[in-house]
Amino acid sequence: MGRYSVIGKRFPRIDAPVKATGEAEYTADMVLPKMLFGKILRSPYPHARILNIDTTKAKRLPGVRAVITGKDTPGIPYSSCDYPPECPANKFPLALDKVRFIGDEVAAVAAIDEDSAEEALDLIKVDYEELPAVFDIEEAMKPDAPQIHDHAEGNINFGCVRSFGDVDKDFEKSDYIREDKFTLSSVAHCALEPHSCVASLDSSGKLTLWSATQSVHRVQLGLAKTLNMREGDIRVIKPYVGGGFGGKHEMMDLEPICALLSQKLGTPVKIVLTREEVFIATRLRHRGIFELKTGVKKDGTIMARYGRSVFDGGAYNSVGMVINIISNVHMNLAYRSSSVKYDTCRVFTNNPVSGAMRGFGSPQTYYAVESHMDMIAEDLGMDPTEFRIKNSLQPNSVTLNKLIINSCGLTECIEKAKEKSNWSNKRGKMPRGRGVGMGCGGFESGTGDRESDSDPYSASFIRANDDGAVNLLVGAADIGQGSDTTLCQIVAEELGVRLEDVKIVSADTEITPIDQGTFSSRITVIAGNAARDAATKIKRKLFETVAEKLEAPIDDLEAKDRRIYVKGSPDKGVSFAEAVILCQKSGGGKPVVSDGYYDIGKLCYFDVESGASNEAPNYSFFAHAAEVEVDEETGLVKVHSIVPSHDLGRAINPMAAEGQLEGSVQMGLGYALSEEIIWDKGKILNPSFLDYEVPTALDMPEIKPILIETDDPEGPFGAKECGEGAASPVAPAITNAIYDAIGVRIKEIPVTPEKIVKALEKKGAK
Amino acid sequence: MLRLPRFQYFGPTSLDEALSLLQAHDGNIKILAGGTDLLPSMKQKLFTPQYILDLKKVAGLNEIKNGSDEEVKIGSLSTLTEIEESSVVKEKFPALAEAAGLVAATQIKNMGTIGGNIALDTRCWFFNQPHFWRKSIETCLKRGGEVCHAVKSGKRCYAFFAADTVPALVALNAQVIIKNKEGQRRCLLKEIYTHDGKTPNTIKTGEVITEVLLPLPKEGSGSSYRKLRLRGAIDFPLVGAAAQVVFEGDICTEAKIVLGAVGSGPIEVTEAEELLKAVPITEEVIEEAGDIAQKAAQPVANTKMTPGYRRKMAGVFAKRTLREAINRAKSK
Repeated sequence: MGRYSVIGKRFPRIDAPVKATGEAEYTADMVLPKMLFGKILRSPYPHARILNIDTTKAKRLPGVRAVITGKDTPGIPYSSCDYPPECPANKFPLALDKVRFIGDEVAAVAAIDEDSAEEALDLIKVDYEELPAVFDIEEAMKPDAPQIHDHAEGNINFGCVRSFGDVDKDFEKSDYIREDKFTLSSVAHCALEPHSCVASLDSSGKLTLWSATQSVHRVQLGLAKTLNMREGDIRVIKPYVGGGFGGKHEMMDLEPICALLSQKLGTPVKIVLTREEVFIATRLRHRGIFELKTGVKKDGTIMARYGRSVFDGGAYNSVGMVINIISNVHMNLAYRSSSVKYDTCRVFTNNPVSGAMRGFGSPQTYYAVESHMDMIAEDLGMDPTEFRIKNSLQPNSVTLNKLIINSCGLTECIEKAKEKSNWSNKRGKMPRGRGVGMGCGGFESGTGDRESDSDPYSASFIRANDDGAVNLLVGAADIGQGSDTTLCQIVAEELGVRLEDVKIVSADTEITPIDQGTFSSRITVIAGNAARDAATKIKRKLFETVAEKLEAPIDDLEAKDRRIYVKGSPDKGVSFAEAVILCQKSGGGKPVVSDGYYDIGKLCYFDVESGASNEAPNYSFFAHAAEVEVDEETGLVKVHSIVPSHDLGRAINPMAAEGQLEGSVQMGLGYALSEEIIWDKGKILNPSFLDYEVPTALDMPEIKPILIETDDPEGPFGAKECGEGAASPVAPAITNAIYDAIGVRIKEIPVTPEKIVKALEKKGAK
Repeated sequence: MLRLPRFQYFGPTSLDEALSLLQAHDGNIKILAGGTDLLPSMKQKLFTPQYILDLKKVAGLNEIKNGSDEEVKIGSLSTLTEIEESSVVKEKFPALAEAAGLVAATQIKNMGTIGGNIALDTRCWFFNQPHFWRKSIETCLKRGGEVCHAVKSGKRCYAFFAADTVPALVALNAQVIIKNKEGQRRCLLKEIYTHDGKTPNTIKTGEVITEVLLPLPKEGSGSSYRKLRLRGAIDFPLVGAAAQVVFEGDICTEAKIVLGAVGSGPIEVTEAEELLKAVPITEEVIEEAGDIAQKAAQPVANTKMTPGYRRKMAGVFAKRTLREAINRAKSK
């Protein structure tokens, strides 16, 4: 019998039965009376001026109810990030005068069925004047490059240099300096559920939007802004969501478009994107380049680290500077150094838009950093794990950029991953073609600060009922990762009831309290603390009542096994339900409710000038060990096993945590070896699950997860993130293992078989 | 998801009825077998036929049986799973069982048919794209236009031949029976391919492939199929390579090496076949045959991985499949 009754137990998801049976209703399943179907006309040009749009023929098509263009919108731009002020919002739901990528939204149709709507798109005549376009980040930064946005000179969306300590001095003090350049590809989220929404705007002016989103709150804010409406007149509800991975964390253009169509017609409208549209017109992970320079002492002590990254932002802001700010955090997590300097920018091109994707900034940073670390270790003649351990962050420390590290199990992660992967007997010791490699890192549990973010909060409401059931209301969005179950476990533990006693309603802006939503791996810690806060408060109320009845000191009481009783004397007490009834009675019918919140701003801050910040209440750490086999003739790589070792503070639900690690391996595997958006002048050549090579079940390695519990003081029951971070170390673990197997280093992901064959040929030719 | 364009559906129960309908609606009708390729293509509006003729209800088209002492008959509506799992096919024609087994994934193999795979359209990533995507490029040769986006100065369509089973069937000297309202023809399978990406085979719209005939393997024969793809499932081949060899003692008396996916039709590497019959088979000879196969491959930049890599892999996979076929021939 452990310390906890519900925490740390392997509960199946509370939504598992309805999902397994197919009862769970997703947005695309929804049908409302008189509902119409919307479709979006997109630009076939990467960069063009819109001269004229003629919708006459489309409007005449039988079944068509409305055709709208930019002129039917309030003409207010929106971007998920419009900060700092020199990077203003720049995306209109429907283009006003210019299109900036193939897929940019130009017009929309509502019709009685999808076929009619699709047919109508072909009847809209748009006259374009083609403009010169630019697709390459280096080209886009040249002085004579086509200018994509008037406000962004040189097509720079955002750029900054962050410097902590004196790298120049420390490079001078170093015994050895190594420089490497890495190239990063674009990849896509591949959530199985495409983006979809249903909008219903009634004659009172009230808009209800059901949407497959990671953040109802952000969608509400975005809609209010771009539709020039009051937030209170907009209700956003999240039905079951089939995965997001960052791709649904902003308001997407289909949402205001759907609302505008419904507004025009006074009837509900549904839009479901096709898979091809999801690839082309939603978001991708930023591609770009990452240069690193590191100075070390002979004994392996890191003295100075310099990084330079340039990210392809595509045609619009999306999350804008956040990629730069967050990758700076990742430059500072994991390893100590005497100084660190990071030069980073995001560049506009006429490609589809880059945005957030699982690990946001960290897959790119850690692929580069972890490859570079291995190369330095080899140059120094050190085992790569020893080199990492020597420099790894330690608990109770502050990084150069002021991240406050309380718990840190990085060293333990590395040691455990080594042990379980049989590293010492395998590294450099297996037959040619077979190798092991490691990738490490750390990740923030949430993000936000009061300076750049207006509301980095999570909050919760709880109502206790006289049958002992408890209602939990949270704004946090379960998008398939299982946060509803996690939050219920936290409340059940605190109140001493069973998991099935807690009934959750999540992510409905009209019912649930404020929550920024699901991104930056924030839910377990931020929303978890908010839920626990409300539970603590309602428990206090119940204890007060019970203490009075039992004539016992309140501090002697305990809530466990659906009872509230005097510690050590379970017989001296009442059932949880009786406690609620007593409390209700003593209040003359006053409902037994509480509210809770967690303000990340009390711990976290961000200094825009220096870039110093404490990004999150706590940070996870991880080390993954991979074992691979390379067919040198074809370049095909078989990943035999991955050992993901993750310091998650405390496993609220070990089964769910392991599921996150397994999913991370799947995503990291694709990033390492096969997934890649293939480009041809702003066109995506592989916008389908047939041609975009997301790993299948048959490609999966054996996964041997290790959960390391460091009991963080800021996390609920000691917990830290376990959702996003783990996706990042997989790729470098695999590519480092490939190097161990065949002795060639490919500094460009994905490491396709072709690149391996070429690199081997080049090596052979030397 | 992309929408299927409107069409009228026919589900005839006899071949005669099917052939009559095909004749009546000549030019405006497409045959539906498994539908695994036709329906996605229709959703992309690559074809918008007015009529669809479903062959699945026609009796007797999905049998695998010994035809005579000399051949095995495979009905054209036999699914790829049925072929992969057929004991006759596995025993006598391992190359075909392997090729069928390596198509796409289980669900697709359960639906897809051998007839459909034989008549599979060629592919190109400037062609196999949804309607709205194709608006961003000029109409290509395969769609009736005048340009090729994969081969900029190309005067013909270079779309690649993506069927897995066909290289195996050609290596196994398969014949097909093709019927129309007037009658039937029987020919070597390889003869129906044009090697032009636009119209990859000579099957006309009134015609139906009804049977595949495989001559029983001779004593001392072995066959094999190998496929290059990036994932363990789903992918079309980047290279397909089939081989069949017949040995009399240590002498190779017959040899076939056929490549898929590196040209607009199945490429028979005849020069390598001649080489194998001319000299005792050593590892050097196999290497040389691989080099010849590499030269015979003609991939262009219309799918994943560069043509250079795919050409090289055509050589590697030709060697690998040849080695396996020889092993099988000799282990009998």
